[in-house]
Amino acid sequence: MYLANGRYAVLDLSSGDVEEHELPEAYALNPRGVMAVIDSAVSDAGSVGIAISSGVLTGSLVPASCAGFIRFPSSGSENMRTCPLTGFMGVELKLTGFDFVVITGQAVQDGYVWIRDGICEFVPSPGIRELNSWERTDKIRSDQGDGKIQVIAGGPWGQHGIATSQLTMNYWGGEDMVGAAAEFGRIGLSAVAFRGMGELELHDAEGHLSRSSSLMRSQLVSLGTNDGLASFSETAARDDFRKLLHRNVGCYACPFPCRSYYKVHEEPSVMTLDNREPGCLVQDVPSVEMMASLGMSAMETIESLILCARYGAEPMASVSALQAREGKVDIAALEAMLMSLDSPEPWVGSTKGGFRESFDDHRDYELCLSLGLCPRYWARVGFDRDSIRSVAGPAMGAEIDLG
Amino acid sequence: MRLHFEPLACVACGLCEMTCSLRRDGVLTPMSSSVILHSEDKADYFGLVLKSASEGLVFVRPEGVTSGQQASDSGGPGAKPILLREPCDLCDGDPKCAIICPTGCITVEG
Repeated sequence: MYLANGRYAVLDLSSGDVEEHELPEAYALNPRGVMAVIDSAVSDAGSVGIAISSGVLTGSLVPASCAGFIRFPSSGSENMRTCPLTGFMGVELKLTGFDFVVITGQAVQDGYVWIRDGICEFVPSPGIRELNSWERTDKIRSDQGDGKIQVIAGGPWGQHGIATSQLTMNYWGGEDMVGAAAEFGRIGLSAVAFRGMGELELHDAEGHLSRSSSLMRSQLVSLGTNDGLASFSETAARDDFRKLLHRNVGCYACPFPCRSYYKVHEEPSVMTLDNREPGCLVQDVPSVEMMASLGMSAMETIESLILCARYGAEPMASVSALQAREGKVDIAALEAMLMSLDSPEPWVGSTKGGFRESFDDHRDYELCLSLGLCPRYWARVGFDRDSIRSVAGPAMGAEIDLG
Repeated sequence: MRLHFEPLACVACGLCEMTCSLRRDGVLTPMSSSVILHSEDKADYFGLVLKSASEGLVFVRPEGVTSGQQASDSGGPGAKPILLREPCDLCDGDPKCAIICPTGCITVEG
């Protein structure tokens, strides 16, 4: 099976048992069926589970083939919720040796799921539930001795099952708009960590490189000059944001980054590694726009996003609740609110600019993630199935079914 | 011929290391590349390390490019250190990393 491992794992947190399952040969050639396969695996797990998955083209040279996703059933219904994974999460997960992992059961002790080298296990870690999201990532990377480990952390808000909690991806928020953090908390899961050191075979390496490179060049011409987050957010183009801008940062295989790092605890132009926590990587367009609508400055916005990421709180719900209560957003008051674990009402305003809103048709959004492609990038360049077939073909040795 | 680096053009996409491994071993993995993406993500400090045949290790740091020093960290003990990898052979005159690099961070000179 090209560009795939051909297997997935099911980990039962209650017992620590792990089952491995083979995937059918046709799995990687049928992206439209990926979600159904995962949903079935979650359902077969016996109790409500959470799937963490890469996509069919994740880790390839296709532009923006960074994506993975988290998939789980919505409480009280059979509807499935989907949270995108960006950065290097998708590719690192795929290179662990599993195409996806289903986590089920209930953790009976503090710990995290650790996936690497074809191994998936629950690692006890006393006290990890008391740590915030940043501390969880730091601890796991330190304990396992590898700074490239990817950590999906629930954070204190998720640990308490707060509906408006948000998963923190290594150190940053913005992807989990579907309550996945609360789901982590519900099953007693503090974090999922993974590191990919495996390899993926493909049918025709030279052909895949050549076509991927050509497609990327043509897309870059149509995209124009990249401005990081400001290419996707009017607010990020403001002077006060530009004054805090350090660098723009791509996800894996992305030629047109939507992420910008802002320094608020160090001069943004400093290029040396002096301060280990100088700022925040921002890709959360809806939160930035929402905070701008409240009149918040760039500094206040970045500080708020850092706090919310540490506590694992959804920023729009948190900030709007504070605004409603006090008539303004003060950073100290925001931290006090986050510490209190007061659950605010979910944000019901605009989420324009979010990953899920990249496509008008939700089926395109899910197909894009099933392919392992970033919805934000591919919505911008045009979700051209012929182009995707063309670059995927040499890698897969056959045409993938995109309908 | 040699590779030329513009450190601040790098966006940490990782395509160079994946493409390097692909050309070497015909598989997608960051484990056998001659170039490694190093990242301290919390501080947004990132750059490249190249094991070159002629200049030793080339460090493409945000503050500038240096060469000839020993690698103190190439991705953690769980990863394959760059000193154990094959040096860059410039893909026999057609460096794939420069072809795939989307930002002009890696180009060919000479």
